[in-house]
Amino acid sequence: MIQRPSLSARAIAPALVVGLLAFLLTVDLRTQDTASKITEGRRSQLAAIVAERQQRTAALESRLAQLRAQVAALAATAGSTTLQELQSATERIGAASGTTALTGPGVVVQLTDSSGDQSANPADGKIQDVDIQAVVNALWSAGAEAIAVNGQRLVSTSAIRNAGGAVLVNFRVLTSPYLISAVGDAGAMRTSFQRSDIAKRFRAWEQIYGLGFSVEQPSNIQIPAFAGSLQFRYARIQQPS
Amino acid sequence: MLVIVSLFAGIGLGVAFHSAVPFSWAPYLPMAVMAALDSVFGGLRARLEGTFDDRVFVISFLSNAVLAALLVWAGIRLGVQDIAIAVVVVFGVRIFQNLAAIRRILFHA
Repeated sequence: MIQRPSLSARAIAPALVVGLLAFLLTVDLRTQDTASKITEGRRSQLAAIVAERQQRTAALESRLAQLRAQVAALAATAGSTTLQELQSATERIGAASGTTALTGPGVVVQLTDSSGDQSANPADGKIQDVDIQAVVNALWSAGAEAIAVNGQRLVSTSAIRNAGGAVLVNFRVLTSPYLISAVGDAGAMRTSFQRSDIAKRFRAWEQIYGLGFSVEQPSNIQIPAFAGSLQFRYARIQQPS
Repeated sequence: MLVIVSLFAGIGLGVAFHSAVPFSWAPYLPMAVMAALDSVFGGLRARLEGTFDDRVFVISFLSNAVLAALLVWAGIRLGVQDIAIAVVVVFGVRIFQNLAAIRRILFHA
Protein backbone atom coordinates (compact mmCIF):
# COMPACT_ATOMS: atom_id res chain seq x y z
CA MET A 1 0.00 0.00 0.00
CA ILE A 2 1.26 3.40 -0.89
CA GLN A 3 1.03 5.77 1.94
CA ARG A 4 0.08 9.27 0.94
CA PRO A 5 1.90 11.90 2.91
CA SER A 6 -0.64 13.48 5.22
CA LEU A 7 -0.85 17.22 5.34
CA SER A 8 -2.70 17.25 8.61
CA ALA A 9 -1.77 19.63 11.36
CA ARG A 10 0.05 16.82 13.18
CA ALA A 11 2.52 16.53 10.35
CA ILE A 12 2.96 20.22 9.71
CA ALA A 13 3.92 21.19 13.24
CA PRO A 14 7.22 19.27 13.51
CA ALA A 15 8.14 20.26 9.99
CA LEU A 16 7.52 23.90 10.78
CA VAL A 17 9.58 23.66 13.93
CA VAL A 18 12.49 22.00 12.18
CA GLY A 19 12.34 24.63 9.47
CA LEU A 20 12.39 27.38 12.07
CA LEU A 21 15.32 25.77 13.85
CA ALA A 22 17.26 25.45 10.62
CA PHE A 23 16.54 29.10 9.87
CA LEU A 24 17.65 30.22 13.35
CA LEU A 25 20.84 28.17 13.23
CA THR A 26 21.82 29.41 9.81
CA VAL A 27 21.15 33.05 10.64
CA ASP A 28 23.08 32.70 13.91
CA LEU A 29 26.07 31.13 12.18
CA ARG A 30 26.14 33.79 9.49
CA THR A 31 25.78 36.66 11.97
CA GLN A 32 28.55 35.46 14.28
CA ASP A 33 30.77 34.94 11.29
CA THR A 34 30.19 38.50 10.11
CA ALA A 35 30.75 39.86 13.62
CA SER A 36 34.15 38.22 14.01
CA LYS A 37 35.16 39.26 10.50
CA ILE A 38 34.40 42.89 11.27
CA THR A 39 36.47 42.98 14.48
CA GLU A 40 39.36 41.20 12.82
CA GLY A 41 39.38 43.67 9.97
CA ARG A 42 39.27 46.69 12.30
CA ARG A 43 42.07 45.34 14.46
CA SER A 44 44.47 44.78 11.60
CA GLN A 45 43.52 48.14 10.09
CA LEU A 46 44.33 49.95 13.32
CA ALA A 47 47.62 48.09 13.70
CA ALA A 48 48.56 49.04 10.12
CA ILE A 49 47.70 52.71 10.77
CA VAL A 50 49.82 52.78 13.94
CA ALA A 51 52.78 51.16 12.19
CA GLU A 52 52.56 53.60 9.28
CA ARG A 53 52.42 56.64 11.59
CA GLN A 54 55.41 55.36 13.54
CA GLN A 55 57.38 55.07 10.33
CA ARG A 56 56.39 58.57 9.33
CA THR A 57 57.50 59.93 12.70
CA ALA A 58 60.87 58.23 12.37
CA ALA A 59 61.33 59.66 8.87
CA LEU A 60 60.42 63.16 10.07
CA GLU A 61 62.83 62.89 12.98
CA SER A 62 65.74 61.99 10.73
CA ARG A 63 64.80 64.83 8.38
CA LEU A 64 64.81 67.17 11.37
CA ALA A 65 68.29 66.00 12.35
CA GLN A 66 69.46 66.58 8.78
CA LEU A 67 68.10 70.12 8.69
CA ARG A 68 69.62 70.93 12.06
CA ALA A 69 73.00 69.71 10.84
CA GLN A 70 72.63 71.87 7.73
CA VAL A 71 71.83 74.93 9.83
CA ALA A 72 74.82 74.28 12.06
CA ALA A 73 77.10 73.83 9.04
CA LEU A 74 75.87 77.02 7.42
CA ALA A 75 76.28 78.99 10.63
CA ALA A 76 79.80 77.65 11.13
CA THR A 77 80.98 78.90 7.76
CA ALA A 78 79.91 82.45 8.41
CA GLY A 79 82.63 84.65 9.85
CA SER A 80 81.16 87.48 11.86
CA THR A 81 82.11 87.80 15.55
CA THR A 82 78.53 88.28 16.70
CA LEU A 83 77.63 85.05 14.95
CA GLN A 84 80.49 83.21 16.65
CA GLU A 85 79.44 84.52 20.06
CA LEU A 86 75.89 83.42 19.38
CA GLN A 87 77.26 80.05 18.21
CA SER A 88 79.08 79.35 21.46
CA ALA A 89 76.06 80.55 23.44
CA THR A 90 73.91 78.13 21.43
CA GLU A 91 76.31 75.30 22.19
CA ARG A 92 76.23 75.97 25.91
CA ILE A 93 72.46 76.27 25.89
CA GLY A 94 72.18 73.15 23.74
CA ALA A 95 74.20 71.13 26.19
CA ALA A 96 71.93 72.22 29.02
CA SER A 97 68.64 72.02 27.15
CA GLY A 98 69.29 68.71 25.46
CA THR A 99 69.61 69.63 21.78
CA THR A 100 73.32 68.73 21.70
CA ALA A 101 74.79 65.28 22.10
CA LEU A 102 77.10 64.92 25.08
CA THR A 103 79.79 62.52 26.15
CA GLY A 104 81.63 61.94 29.38
CA PRO A 105 82.04 59.70 32.42
CA GLY A 106 79.05 58.60 34.37
CA VAL A 107 76.79 55.77 35.39
CA VAL A 108 74.50 53.40 33.44
CA VAL A 109 71.60 51.77 35.28
CA GLN A 110 70.01 48.79 33.52
CA LEU A 111 66.50 47.60 34.37
CA THR A 112 65.00 44.46 32.81
CA ASP A 113 61.62 42.74 33.04
CA SER A 114 61.60 39.41 34.84
CA SER A 115 61.99 36.51 32.45
CA GLY A 116 59.59 34.06 34.00
CA ASP A 117 56.24 33.90 35.71
CA GLN A 118 57.54 34.64 39.15
CA SER A 119 54.47 35.95 40.89
CA ALA A 120 50.70 35.78 40.77
CA ASN A 121 50.39 39.24 39.22
CA PRO A 122 52.14 39.39 35.82
CA ALA A 123 52.41 43.19 36.10
CA ASP A 124 54.82 42.72 39.03
CA GLY A 125 57.39 41.21 36.69
CA LYS A 126 57.45 44.19 34.32
CA ILE A 127 59.39 47.41 34.74
CA GLN A 128 56.86 50.25 34.96
CA ASP A 129 57.11 53.94 34.16
CA VAL A 130 57.16 54.83 37.87
CA ASP A 131 60.24 52.65 38.37
CA ILE A 132 62.11 54.46 35.63
CA GLN A 133 60.92 57.81 36.98
CA ALA A 134 62.28 56.97 40.43
CA VAL A 135 65.67 55.90 39.04
CA VAL A 136 65.93 59.05 36.91
CA ASN A 137 65.00 61.23 39.88
CA ALA A 138 67.60 59.53 42.05
CA LEU A 139 70.24 60.07 39.35
CA TRP A 140 69.40 63.77 39.03
CA SER A 141 69.65 64.17 42.78
CA ALA A 142 72.95 62.25 42.73
CA GLY A 143 74.35 64.94 40.47
CA ALA A 144 73.73 63.84 36.89
CA GLU A 145 74.24 66.52 34.26
CA ALA A 146 72.38 64.79 31.43
CA ILE A 147 70.26 61.64 31.28
CA ALA A 148 69.00 59.47 28.43
CA VAL A 149 66.67 56.44 28.63
CA ASN A 150 67.27 53.88 25.84
CA GLY A 151 68.61 56.66 23.64
CA GLN A 152 65.84 59.13 24.42
CA ARG A 153 67.38 62.33 25.84
CA LEU A 154 65.44 63.79 28.74
CA VAL A 155 64.67 67.47 28.25
CA SER A 156 62.48 69.85 30.16
CA THR A 157 59.31 68.65 28.45
CA SER A 158 60.14 64.93 28.54
CA ALA A 159 57.61 62.66 30.20
CA ILE A 160 58.15 59.06 31.25
CA ARG A 161 54.70 57.60 31.08
CA ASN A 162 52.65 54.50 30.64
CA ALA A 163 50.13 53.84 27.91
CA GLY A 164 48.33 50.53 27.50
CA GLY A 165 50.97 48.66 29.46
CA ALA A 166 53.90 50.02 27.46
CA VAL A 167 56.44 52.54 28.69
CA LEU A 168 56.71 55.75 26.67
CA VAL A 169 59.52 58.30 26.88
CA ASN A 170 59.25 61.39 24.67
CA PHE A 171 56.20 59.65 23.21
CA ARG A 172 58.32 56.79 21.88
CA VAL A 173 57.54 53.26 23.00
CA LEU A 174 60.41 51.60 24.84
CA THR A 175 60.83 47.97 25.80
CA SER A 176 62.92 46.03 28.28
CA PRO A 177 65.89 46.20 28.83
CA TYR A 178 65.93 49.86 29.86
CA LEU A 179 69.35 51.52 29.87
CA ILE A 180 69.38 54.76 31.83
CA SER A 181 72.62 56.61 31.11
CA ALA A 182 73.66 59.58 33.23
CA VAL A 183 76.74 61.72 32.65
CA GLY A 184 78.38 63.25 35.72
CA ASP A 185 80.89 62.55 38.50
CA ALA A 186 80.87 58.75 38.14
CA GLY A 187 82.14 57.77 41.58
CA ALA A 188 80.05 60.22 43.57
CA MET A 189 76.92 59.54 41.49
CA ARG A 190 77.26 55.80 41.87
CA THR A 191 77.71 55.95 45.65
CA SER A 192 74.84 58.36 46.09
CA PHE A 193 72.58 56.36 43.78
CA GLN A 194 73.32 53.02 45.48
CA ARG A 195 72.27 54.61 48.77
CA SER A 196 69.01 55.93 47.32
CA ASP A 197 65.61 54.52 48.20
CA ILE A 198 64.86 53.21 44.71
CA ALA A 199 68.19 51.34 44.52
CA LYS A 200 67.44 49.60 47.81
CA ARG A 201 63.95 48.68 46.59
CA PHE A 202 65.27 47.34 43.32
CA ARG A 203 67.80 45.15 45.10
CA ALA A 204 64.86 43.66 47.03
CA TRP A 205 62.71 43.33 43.91
CA GLU A 206 65.54 41.50 42.18
CA GLN A 207 65.07 38.69 44.68
CA ILE A 208 61.29 38.81 45.02
CA TYR A 209 60.12 39.41 41.43
CA GLY A 210 63.20 38.52 39.43
CA LEU A 211 63.58 42.00 37.94
CA GLY A 212 66.97 42.80 36.44
CA PHE A 213 68.91 45.63 38.09
CA SER A 214 72.54 46.58 37.48
CA VAL A 215 74.64 49.71 37.93
CA GLU A 216 77.68 50.04 35.67
CA GLN A 217 80.37 52.69 35.49
CA PRO A 218 81.68 52.70 31.89
CA SER A 219 84.59 54.98 31.13
CA ASN A 220 82.78 56.87 28.41
CA ILE A 221 79.07 57.44 28.00
CA GLN A 222 77.40 58.88 24.90
CA ILE A 223 74.17 60.73 25.42
CA PRO A 224 72.37 61.59 22.17
CA ALA A 225 70.68 64.90 21.43
CA PHE A 226 66.97 65.26 21.84
CA ALA A 227 65.49 64.07 18.55
CA GLY A 228 62.06 65.64 18.77
CA SER A 229 61.01 69.22 18.37
CA LEU A 230 60.43 71.73 21.11
CA GLN A 231 57.44 73.84 20.35
CA PHE A 232 56.08 76.40 22.72
CA ARG A 233 52.47 77.23 22.07
CA TYR A 234 51.72 78.95 25.37
CA ALA A 235 55.12 79.86 26.84
CA ARG A 236 56.57 83.09 25.50
CA ILE A 237 60.06 84.36 26.00
CA GLN A 238 60.14 86.76 28.90
CA GLN A 239 62.07 89.88 27.96
CA PRO A 240 64.37 91.17 30.67
CA SER A 241 62.87 94.32 32.12
CA MET B 1 9.54 13.82 4.15
CA LEU B 2 7.98 17.15 4.83
CA VAL B 3 10.44 17.60 7.69
CA ILE B 4 13.43 17.20 5.39
CA VAL B 5 12.02 19.65 2.88
CA SER B 6 11.36 22.08 5.66
CA LEU B 7 14.91 21.63 6.98
CA PHE B 8 16.44 22.61 3.68
CA ALA B 9 13.93 25.41 3.23
CA GLY B 10 14.97 26.78 6.65
CA ILE B 11 18.67 26.62 5.74
CA GLY B 12 18.00 28.25 2.41
CA LEU B 13 15.96 31.05 3.95
CA GLY B 14 18.65 31.54 6.59
CA VAL B 15 21.35 31.94 3.97
CA ALA B 16 19.21 34.28 1.91
CA PHE B 17 17.89 36.46 4.69
CA HIS B 18 20.65 36.50 7.30
CA SER B 19 21.36 40.14 6.67
CA ALA B 20 17.73 41.00 7.33
CA VAL B 21 18.25 40.24 11.01
CA PRO B 22 19.41 43.40 12.81
CA PHE B 23 23.03 43.19 13.89
CA SER B 24 22.16 44.28 17.41
CA TRP B 25 20.32 40.98 17.87
CA ALA B 26 23.61 39.08 17.58
CA PRO B 27 23.99 38.37 21.33
CA TYR B 28 20.48 36.91 21.61
CA LEU B 29 20.61 34.51 18.69
CA PRO B 30 22.85 31.88 20.31
CA MET B 31 20.56 31.83 23.34
CA ALA B 32 17.48 31.27 21.23
CA VAL B 33 19.34 28.53 19.37
CA MET B 34 20.26 26.79 22.64
CA ALA B 35 16.67 26.89 23.82
CA ALA B 36 15.36 25.69 20.47
CA LEU B 37 17.86 22.82 20.41
CA ASP B 38 16.71 21.82 23.88
CA SER B 39 13.10 21.56 22.84
CA VAL B 40 14.04 19.70 19.64
CA PHE B 41 15.97 17.06 21.59
CA GLY B 42 13.13 16.94 24.08
CA GLY B 43 10.73 16.29 21.23
CA LEU B 44 13.00 13.58 19.83
CA ARG B 45 13.13 11.88 23.19
CA ALA B 46 9.34 12.09 23.57
CA ARG B 47 8.93 10.63 20.11
CA LEU B 48 11.12 7.66 20.99
CA GLU B 49 9.34 7.19 24.30
CA GLY B 50 5.98 7.39 22.60
CA THR B 51 4.82 10.38 24.54
CA PHE B 52 5.18 12.90 21.72
CA ASP B 53 2.57 15.62 21.62
CA ASP B 54 2.98 17.99 18.74
CA ARG B 55 1.23 20.86 20.51
CA VAL B 56 3.62 20.61 23.45
CA PHE B 57 6.51 20.41 21.03
CA VAL B 58 5.64 23.51 19.03
CA ILE B 59 4.69 25.61 22.03
CA SER B 60 7.76 24.65 24.03
CA PHE B 61 10.00 25.37 21.04
CA LEU B 62 8.64 28.85 20.48
CA SER B 63 8.31 29.81 24.13
CA ASN B 64 11.79 28.51 25.06
CA ALA B 65 13.43 30.48 22.30
CA VAL B 66 11.55 33.70 23.02
CA LEU B 67 11.90 33.45 26.80
CA ALA B 68 15.62 32.71 26.63
CA ALA B 69 16.20 35.77 24.45
CA LEU B 70 14.01 37.87 26.75
CA LEU B 71 15.89 36.66 29.83
CA VAL B 72 19.23 37.62 28.29
CA TRP B 73 17.88 41.02 27.23
CA ALA B 74 16.52 41.71 30.72
CA GLY B 75 19.77 40.58 32.30
CA ILE B 76 21.81 42.92 30.12
CA ARG B 77 19.46 45.84 30.87
CA LEU B 78 19.66 45.13 34.60
CA GLY B 79 23.42 45.03 34.47
CA VAL B 80 23.85 41.32 35.19
CA GLN B 81 27.01 40.44 33.34
CA ASP B 82 27.24 37.02 31.78
CA ILE B 83 23.59 36.16 32.26
CA ALA B 84 24.10 34.17 29.09
CA ILE B 85 25.95 31.69 31.30
CA ALA B 86 22.70 30.84 33.09
CA VAL B 87 20.97 30.08 29.79
CA VAL B 88 23.90 28.02 28.55
CA VAL B 89 24.16 26.00 31.77
CA VAL B 90 20.45 25.27 32.12
CA PHE B 91 19.79 24.34 28.51
CA GLY B 92 23.08 22.52 28.22
CA VAL B 93 22.15 20.33 31.19
CA ARG B 94 18.72 19.61 29.74
CA ILE B 95 20.17 18.78 26.32
CA PHE B 96 22.55 16.30 27.90
CA GLN B 97 19.75 14.72 29.93
CA ASN B 98 17.63 14.30 26.81
CA LEU B 99 20.57 12.91 24.85
CA ALA B 100 21.25 10.40 27.63
CA ALA B 101 17.62 9.25 27.57
CA ILE B 102 17.73 8.94 23.76
CA ARG B 103 20.94 6.97 24.00
CA ARG B 104 19.39 4.59 26.53
CA ILE B 105 16.38 4.00 24.31
CA LEU B 106 18.35 3.51 21.10
CA PHE B 107 21.32 1.50 22.33
CA HIS B 108 19.98 0.09 25.61
CA ALA B 109 23.21 1.34 27.07
